[in-house]
Order: sequence, then C-alpha cells, then structure tokens
Amino acid sequence: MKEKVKKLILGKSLREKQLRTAYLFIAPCIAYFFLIFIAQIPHILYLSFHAFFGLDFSKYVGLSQFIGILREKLFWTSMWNTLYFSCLSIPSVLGLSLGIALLLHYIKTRIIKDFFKALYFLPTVCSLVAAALIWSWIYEPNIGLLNNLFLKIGLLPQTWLHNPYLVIPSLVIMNVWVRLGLGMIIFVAGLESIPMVYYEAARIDGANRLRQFLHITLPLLNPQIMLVLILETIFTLQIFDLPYVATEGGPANASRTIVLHLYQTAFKWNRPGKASAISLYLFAMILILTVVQWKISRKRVMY
Amino acid sequence: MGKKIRQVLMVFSLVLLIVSYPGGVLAEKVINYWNFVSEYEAAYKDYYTKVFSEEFQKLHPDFRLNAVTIPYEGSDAKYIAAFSARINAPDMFVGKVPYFAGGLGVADPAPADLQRIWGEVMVEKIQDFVKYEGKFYGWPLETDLGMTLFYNVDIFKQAGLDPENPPTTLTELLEYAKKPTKYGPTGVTQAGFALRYSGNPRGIADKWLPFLHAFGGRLYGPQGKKASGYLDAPAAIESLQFYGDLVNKYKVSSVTIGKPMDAFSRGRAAMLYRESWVVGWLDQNAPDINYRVAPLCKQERYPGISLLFTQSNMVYKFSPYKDVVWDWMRFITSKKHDVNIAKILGTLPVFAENFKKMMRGRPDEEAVKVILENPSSPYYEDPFINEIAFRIGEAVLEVLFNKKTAEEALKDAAPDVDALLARKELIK
Amino acid sequence: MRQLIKYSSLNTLVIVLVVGGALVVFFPFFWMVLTSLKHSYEIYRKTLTFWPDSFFYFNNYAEVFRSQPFARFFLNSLIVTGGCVGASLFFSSLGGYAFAKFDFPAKEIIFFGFVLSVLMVPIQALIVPLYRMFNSLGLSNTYLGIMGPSLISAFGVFLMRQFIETIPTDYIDAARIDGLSEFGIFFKIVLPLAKPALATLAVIKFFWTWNEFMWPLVIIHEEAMKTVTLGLSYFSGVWHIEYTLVCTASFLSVIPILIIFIFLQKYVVKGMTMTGIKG
Repeated sequence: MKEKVKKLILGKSLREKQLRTAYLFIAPCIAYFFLIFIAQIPHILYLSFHAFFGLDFSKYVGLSQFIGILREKLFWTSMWNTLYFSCLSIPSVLGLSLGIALLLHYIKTRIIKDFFKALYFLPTVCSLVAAALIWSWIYEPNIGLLNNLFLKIGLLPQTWLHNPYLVIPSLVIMNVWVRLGLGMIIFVAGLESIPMVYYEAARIDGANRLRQFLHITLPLLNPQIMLVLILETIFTLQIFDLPYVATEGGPANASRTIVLHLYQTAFKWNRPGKASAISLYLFAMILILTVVQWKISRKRVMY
Repeated sequence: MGKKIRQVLMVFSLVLLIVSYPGGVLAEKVINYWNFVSEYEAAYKDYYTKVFSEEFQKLHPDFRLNAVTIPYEGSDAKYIAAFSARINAPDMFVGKVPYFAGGLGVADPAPADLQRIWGEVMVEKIQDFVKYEGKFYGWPLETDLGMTLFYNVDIFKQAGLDPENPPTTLTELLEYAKKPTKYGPTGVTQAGFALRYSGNPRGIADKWLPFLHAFGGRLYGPQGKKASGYLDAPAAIESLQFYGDLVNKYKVSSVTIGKPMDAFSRGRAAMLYRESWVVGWLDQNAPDINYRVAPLCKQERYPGISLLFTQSNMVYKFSPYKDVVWDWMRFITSKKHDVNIAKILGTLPVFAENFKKMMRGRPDEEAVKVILENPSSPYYEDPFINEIAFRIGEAVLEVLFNKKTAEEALKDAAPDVDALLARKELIK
Repeated sequence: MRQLIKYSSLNTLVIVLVVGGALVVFFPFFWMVLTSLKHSYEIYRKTLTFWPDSFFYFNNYAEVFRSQPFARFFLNSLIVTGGCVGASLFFSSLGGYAFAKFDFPAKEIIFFGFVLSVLMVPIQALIVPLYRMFNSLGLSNTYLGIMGPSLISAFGVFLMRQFIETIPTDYIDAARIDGLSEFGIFFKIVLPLAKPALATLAVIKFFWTWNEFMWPLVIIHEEAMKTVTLGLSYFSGVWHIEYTLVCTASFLSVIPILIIFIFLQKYVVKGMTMTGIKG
C-alpha cells in the first residue's frame, strides 16, 4: 500500500503522471462535495437523536423525536398540504406545458416560435420570491386586480390567499405560472427530435391528428414526460419560497408545507434535532417517490 | 514568472478578504441594539442613537451604538441565529424576559444596584413581567398594561350608537358591533369589531386573551404544569366560541378586512382592542380618526391586564462589553429619558412618578385607571411561552377560519401545550 | 409573414391560443411595472385605474433605495453570484475534464457517489446540519458562508463531463506530445473548446444563485449582508404592505435576470433543457 502511494507521488511513468493529474483535478470538487454532502449524513443522524434546549445544552433522546413527530398534528397537516399541492400542481404543469409545446411546435416560422418560447419561459427565470410578491398583489382581496376583474365579469370575488380552502389552489396557480416554461422547453426539444417521417407514414395510413398524437407523439415523448414528472415531484415536495413569502403557512396552517414546517422547527423554535428528524422523513419520501417514478418510466420506455 | 505569481497571490488574497468579510464593522467597539417592535421604528432608533452619541459617548468615547430594527415576523429565527452564531449577536435586545432568560438562557440578570433601584421606581403592576425567578432581567419599553377598547366616534354616531356609553360587557360589544357593520360583495367592508387573523400566531393568541380572561378562563394552570383542564375547560371553549362567532356567526368582524390597525386607521372598523401605544401611533399616522378609549369589556369578570408579551430591553449574557452595556442601561433608564421616550412615542412611561403625571389628559386615562384599580389577570411566564402562544394562536385561527369548532381546536391544542410545558423540567 | 397568411382556420386558432396564453403569462410582469409607477393613493381608489396617472412617477424607485440599503443588496448579490459562477466554472470544468478524459481506479463509483448523488439531494433536506457546520466555522454573515453549499456546482461537473467527452482525445494527446503541461492542456486546449458548455453553465449558475432564497435566509442575519432576493422578501411588512414598493423592488430585482435572459437566451434554454435540477 505504502509503496503504491509512493509510486503515485514520485513515479515518473506516463501512467503515474496521468493518475496524479486526474486526482489533483478532481480533488477540489470531491473534497467540497464530501464536506457539503457525505459528511452531513452522519451529522444529521447525530442531530436527529438529540434534543436541544436553549443554545448550548443537548441531550440524547433516542428515537423519541422520530416517534413524537408522527404523533404531531402539525406534521401531518404539513404533509397533507404538500401532497395536495403536488397533486394539483404536477398534472397542471404537465398538461399545460405539453399543450403549449404542441401549439408552439405547430408554428413553423422560426423567429415567431422563438419569440413565444422566450415569453412563456420568462417567469421560470425569475425568483420565486418576486413571483410570490407579484401574485399576492394580484390576489389582494379588496383592491387586487383579480377580484376587480371578477366583479367586472359578474363573478363572486374571493379572498384567495386569506381563505384556508383556496390558499393551496391559489399558490398552485403561482407555481404553475413559474414552472410552465421549464416543462414547455423540454417538450419542445422533445417534439423537435421526433422525425417527420413517422407522421408522413401515419398520414399515408390515413391516421387523423388525434391518432397521430396518441400513437406517435405521446409514446415518443415518454422520456420527456417522465423527466418533467420527476423534476416537478422533487420541486413541489420541497416547495418553500412561495408559502413562506406569500402566506407564512397561513391562514390557520392551511398552506404550511413540509419544508416550511422544517424551517420553523429548526430556526424559529430552535429545535434542530426535531427538524433533522423531519428532514430524514422528507428525504425518504423524495427518494421513494423518485425511485418509483423512475422504475415506472423504465418499464414504459421498454415497450 | 515571479511577477505573475505575485499577481496571482494578490488576487487570491483579495478574494479571500472579500469572501470572509463578516458584515459588521470590526475596528470600532460597537454596541449592537436590536428592536423588533416595528410600530415605533425610527423614533426609538433615532432617540437612542442621539442620546448615545451626544451624552453617553462622553463617558465611553470609544463606543458606538448600532441600533437596528428587525422585522417582527422573522424576529424569532433571527434572534436564534444570531445568538447561536455568537459573533454579531446583539449586545442589547428587546424581547420577553422569561423566554430569553429561561428558554434561551441568553439574558443577563440585572446587577445588584439595578435590582434594588428598579424595584423602587418601576410602576408596580408591571414589575413581575420583567422578572424571571424573582430577579429583574429587563427594563420594559413602556408601561404596557395590555389592551383597551378603541372606538371610532364618527362611525358610532353614523350607526346611531352613543359614543358616551361604549359597551361594557362582551354581550354588549356584540350588540354594538352589529350596527356599524357594512357588507359588500367580498363580505364585510366595514367591521363592527376588528380582530387579528394574520401574521405570527403568537400575536393572535395574545389578542384573544382578554376574551378568555373575561369568560374566567386561563391558558394553563397556576403552577405552569398542565394546560389540560384549563385550556380545554368550558370557560375557555365558550370564550373562543364567542370570538369565532364574531366572524362566522354574527359576521360583525371579518378575516378579509385587512390588518386591524390598517382597518381602524382607514375608518373601516368601528372598534378594536389594542394597547396604549396606539394612542401615539394614531396621532402620527391617522390624525383625522376621531376615536375614544374605553376599558375592556367584562363578561364573567373584568379581564384586567391581559397580555402575553411585555417587551423589554435586556443585555446579552456573553456580550464582550457587558459592563458598558449595563452602564448604558443605567443611563437610558433614567427618569429624564423615560419621559422623553414616552413623549416621542405617545406611550406610558415606566417610572411610577412619571406615569402618574403623564397619564393625565390622555384619551385612555379612564380606561387605564380601571385597569389599575382592578386585580390583575393570570400572567404567563413559562420559558417556552413563545412556542406555547404560537400553538394556541393556531387553535384560535382554526376557529376564526371555521376549520374547527372551538371545542375541537382547544381539545387538540391542550396536549401539545402540556408537552411544551413539560420541557422546562428538562433544562433543570 | 407571408406564410402565416396562407394558414387555414386551424392555424388561426393556434395563433389565437398561443398569443392569448402568452398575454396571460406575461401580464403579471406588465402589471408589476405599471404598479411600480403608481402613487400609493392610486391603488386604493374605489374603482381600479389600470394605467398609472403619470408614466414618469419614479418616487417609488427612490423610496426603495431609501427604505432599505438596496444598492448594497445588489453589490452583495453580485459578489456572491460572481463567486459562485467563477468557482463553479473553474472547479467543475477541472473535475469534469478529469472524469471525461482520464482513466483512474473507481472512476465510475466516485462519479456516482460524489457527483450524481449530490445532484439528486435537495439542499433543503440537509439545511440544518449545513447551517450548524457553517455557523460553527464562523461563516454566517460572510460572503463565503452565503455562497456556502452552492459554491461548486455538481451539475457543472456533470455538464462539463458530458461536453468534454465529445472533444476528440487526439487534440489533447497532440498537445501532450508537444510538451504542454497538464494545466497548460486544460487552459489552452480544453477550456477554449468547451466554451459553449461554459457559457451555459455560467448563465444557469447565475440564475440559481441570484434567486437562491432559503440558504441566505438562514445564514444571513446582518442587514448589510442581505442579498437582493432576501432583501426583497422583507418588503411584505407586518403592519401594512405597500404594494407599490413591493412591485418596484420586485421589478428591480428581476432586471439583471431579464438582461441576461434577453441576451443569452440560447444558453439558458440549453442548460434548462439538460436538467432542471438545482445544483
């Protein structure tokens, strides 16, 4: 072993030089990722088995925090809100971005297509904080734009972010607005990669547009659909910025998401141990869902 | 080649310098003072800074005061972050004594001389609020005697109510509130009574307290051991039911009207419960509102001083300049500055002597007299009161937004509060 | 244009849908800019006035800089974003190059364990231990601390590896025979050839870092160190929200991003298409 290391450091052959260079080049990245990620796993496990009091004092409490969390109503409320948010948001983003991509794909003039692509993509590059602020202004119940519009067209104005039953759907609209562009871009790229010959063959066989869409476009877009699905799942399960800025989890916890709950537990109530246990649950949830989706996508791509 | 290496090194060290810049100014000795009571904002900051640089600096010439107003909403997290980072933590700060002295353990007990002096000069009714386990830890920003009833005289007249006879019981309050309430397509556009429904749930629990106490309830037992049997007792349920009914059954208040202070200062609410500092705030921000102040409404009993959070100045236990900060505390808690601050902010001063003088002629004079004549309501000094109030505030919100009945909400909250109350045994 | 006219009714429908959708998507921005030009009494009027009374009312802009040290926030954001972009470009391409063109034991395992897995893990899940580590190192409230977990991009390593793999190895070998040092090869041969990938990475990294919110929120508690995105979140006050100011500040915070997006759009789109995972 010692000799091997010595050879690596001092060796003069090309192979040894190459190895040396390679290790030198990856060293900064690997060291950094080790520090930021790998080393944090034992750290988070340590934290989750300890309860913290005040600022200096901690105590080993075994699994009690993991169990305590499951008994807590607030944790389940946040879980439920997050899942509800995901269930509304993911299909909307998927459907709408695919729809827009299909429409854009239909436009043949390059410049016009690119122009609209950029317009739809614009909200995606803006910060979620700005999005949350702009939309809370639009949703303002008394002087906001949306309610003014509702009054004009004879609909009943709503209280949007102040209504516990409407707050999640309202946040979902914001989220769809932000995330639409990403899905659209991925789908447009996917559509452009489908060879025209397939469609020409189908046309000769007499297939109408709907059949073409169902039998050519959708199956061939499967990888892109799975990609967007996975990206959106990971994104919505960790949604934090929107509820933090727009509602702070209110009203009456109706928009408290799991990461917001985690944040408040750790940084507002000074319970890093309990928050670490929540992180581990979140982590497990994301892992399971991603793996399941990935497995399904594998199967479906196969056929 | 050597020149190149030198250049690279220079750039590198410059980058390191920039990158590790800690924000604060390092060269001077700075006393950082944090205040999150944003109603006062600039006034507080300016007065302290002025006094420090004009008077206090003569005694301690190498020190400078850096007064910072931090947003109330993020204040819990910010305090914890700063105190656990140790560097850049405030040397003097504002908050509730039991939490910072007991829960976080970062507040320094006042030196012996101040323990004695404060006990002699401070308004007696509020002394317990700034003590933890019998010792003084802080100097209150004002004599905060909890809320009183503010009502808009013009709206009262328009609705045919007599401004000379404001409501005295909660039943009357409800009857009064029905008349001026107006409705539009989004619901209530002018509320009979404005109540807090947004922001930190802690404050929401605080605003329900006068109702709870009026019905004869309390948040948790006198020894601070259990909330079950108190928070879910019939009196508490009844009072929260009443509070929720204002919004959901009688619709004299609303959870869409906006923040109560905004609504009242824009003439969109006839009544609200607020603290005495609002007298000063309204003078500055809404001088055209014609209002009067009455005592809180009774029901089973008179609610007296019903408040959760007395904000006071405290000193950081691990501050490097602790002695100087205590000197500054001695300086700023003098009779002269007490009067000046009260004048600038329109609050009630802390010195008993000043208090007696300045109370005269204020719109809330009568209301304050009633508070002082009546016995105090339960006071809550659990070291984890911040979290407890947060949990209870959530229960209140669940009722205001009609997600649960008062009974369900409080029965759910009581065991959680029990668990929080049990935490103080663990730090001992 | 001539092509457009030839289209049938279906095409008209497509155009109407596309234009309508684009209007809806773009409108919030437009509304934000309009509101930023209004006096606060304009927005409290009984009936909503759509256009501002004057298009040259810039008091809100002055007020934003007066009420908070917004200029300082911009400077902070620029330093932090610049640092992250620079470090990511350099170290990610260095690592990506080694993974693409060198052969060493356990290469695939290291790549999977240290790069791909980092790419998959959301920073939110590790925020508590990360915060405690940075805090105990005394890095809270420092630029290095704010750059913190996003200093080097794992996505960058992945992207550079993918791209550098397509560069013919012959170029590199030829340079080596010519006697160029390994760093020389990296700087003079690999980096110039990888310019498109570097541009993509730079632009994407800029967006991510500029918009980062949760990490700055926990690591910064000094007013003077706030980033633009963090400072922006404080405009929604407790006692009352001044929507005119909120819109003005939002617009200001979005300007750098808009500029980059307009001029470097193709790199943004390319990068985002490759993956939307943050890193």
